Amino acid sequence: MKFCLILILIFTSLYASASEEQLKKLNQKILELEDSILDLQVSRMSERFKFSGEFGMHYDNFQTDGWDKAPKNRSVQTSNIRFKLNADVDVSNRIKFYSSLFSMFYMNKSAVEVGPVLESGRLFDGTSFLRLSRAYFDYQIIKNKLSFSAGRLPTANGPPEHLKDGDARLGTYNSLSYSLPFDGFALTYKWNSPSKKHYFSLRSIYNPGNIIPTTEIMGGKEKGKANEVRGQIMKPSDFIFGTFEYQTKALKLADKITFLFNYSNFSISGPAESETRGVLDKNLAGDRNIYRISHALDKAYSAENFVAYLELDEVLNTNFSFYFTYKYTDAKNRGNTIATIIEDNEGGALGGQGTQYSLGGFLSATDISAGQQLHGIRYKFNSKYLTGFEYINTNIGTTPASFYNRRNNQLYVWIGQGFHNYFTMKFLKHSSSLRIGYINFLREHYFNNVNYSPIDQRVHNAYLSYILRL
Amino acid sequence: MGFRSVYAQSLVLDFSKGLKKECPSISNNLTKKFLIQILKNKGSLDCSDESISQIYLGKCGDTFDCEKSLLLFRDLKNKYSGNVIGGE
Repeated sequence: MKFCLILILIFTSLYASASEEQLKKLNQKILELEDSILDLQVSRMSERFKFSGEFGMHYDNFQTDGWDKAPKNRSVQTSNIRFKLNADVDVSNRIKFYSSLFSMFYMNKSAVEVGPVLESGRLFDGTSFLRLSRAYFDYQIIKNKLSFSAGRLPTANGPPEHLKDGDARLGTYNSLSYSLPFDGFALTYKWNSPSKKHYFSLRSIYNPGNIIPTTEIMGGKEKGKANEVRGQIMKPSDFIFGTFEYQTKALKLADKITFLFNYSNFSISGPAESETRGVLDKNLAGDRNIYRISHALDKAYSAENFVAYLELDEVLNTNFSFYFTYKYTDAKNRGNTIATIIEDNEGGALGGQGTQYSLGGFLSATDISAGQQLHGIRYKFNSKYLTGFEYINTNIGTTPASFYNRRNNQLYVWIGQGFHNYFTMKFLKHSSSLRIGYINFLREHYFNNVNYSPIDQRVHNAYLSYILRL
Repeated sequence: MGFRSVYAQSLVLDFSKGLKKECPSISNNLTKKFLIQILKNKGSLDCSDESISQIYLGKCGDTFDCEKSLLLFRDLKNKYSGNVIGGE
């Protein structure tokens, strides 16, 4: 009897341990199944097509003083509206496509400029343009490591623009680079350390400069005819960019340290042939001659840019962040812009028809090397409120940057020195932000449509800018 | 993994990583369930809703900040919005 009892106990414990093992396996299976179902649910919900956008309103008040060649103490107010619509598509597991349509127009311009107007064979709408600011795809050659991109690339509005809005990073390289949405190809290599504390990436970007006026494709330029090429068509050479990025979270100095280095090399032609009245009037008042502005050579200007950017986020566990950018430009004048008198209205005082004047090199009158610096500090009160201060010093000879600035200010384009204060508020669960800013800038040179001329003008720019994420 | 896109996969991985900083004991599946709740509500969630707090706050105690996790979600959405060539 005792023996039977022991046997029963042994069998029961064996059976119990076996079913416990099976139960464990079953539970494991259920968890795995649940995991897969959840992954599928997330995939289904993060839709293949994603639409998003931005709506912005921007008000500027400019007060200028100190320039003797323009009305002194001018006060100008401008307001503009910006609209951006993004459509992104997960084409496949490896290909993702991004696009953005963008428009910026000054408020109520439609009341005075009713479009569309047919001008020089192109449809011109004086009220607003809808531009394609981004249309490209990323192809993951090696997932999350090596990718190939092609199309109109997101190369504008780079750091530190995101810090001022408390947003995720915008733009591939820093804002002080030649900040335009370039068309071309890119190869990106990314590496994350196993601890995820170190990250680096290498990007090479190639933009073929094959802009050809349509009449040249369609059978040659016919001088003097209606289809003569005029206007602002420029022929850039191939643009070559290289970007190195390193990010670390391993140092106690700051929560995150980002270093970006960018190199670019390009050359451009001068503006296409155009006609204008009185180009010499800055030297001789009352010039009523008509001039043809032309450029003899295919290349007018070439430059090499070296840009370094350092960002220290939340330094020493405080809410302070610091950012620094230094850009060095080595610019070369490849040939002068020529003004030819085609209609003499001054009785030969400035020379007869056909007389030529050199207006100097395009963008840069001579070969010149120069630097541009931007130093900034930002304080984040909390996730909703932040403020910052930045100082900028730009010397003549640096390439202009940030034509495509998100907030439309001229800070990175002006030549001279100045500072910028800003205060940003985020509300409606971060889908909305309001920024108030003040820029005080001493402009030392201005762009006279050919190159830069001296100026001594103080600009006070107060602005109010609102962005609503759609 | 049953992900159909790199975007969804990266979103889940980064969201889990961020959430685990706040609540180390949270399981992967609970993270995904929470993400699904946010996606269902098109990126917003009523953090004062008791059913939410019972499921998630109960597991993580006071260390779990619902509002902070929503901010994390929005930041990640920005990160995968094609602002940088080849992704950041």
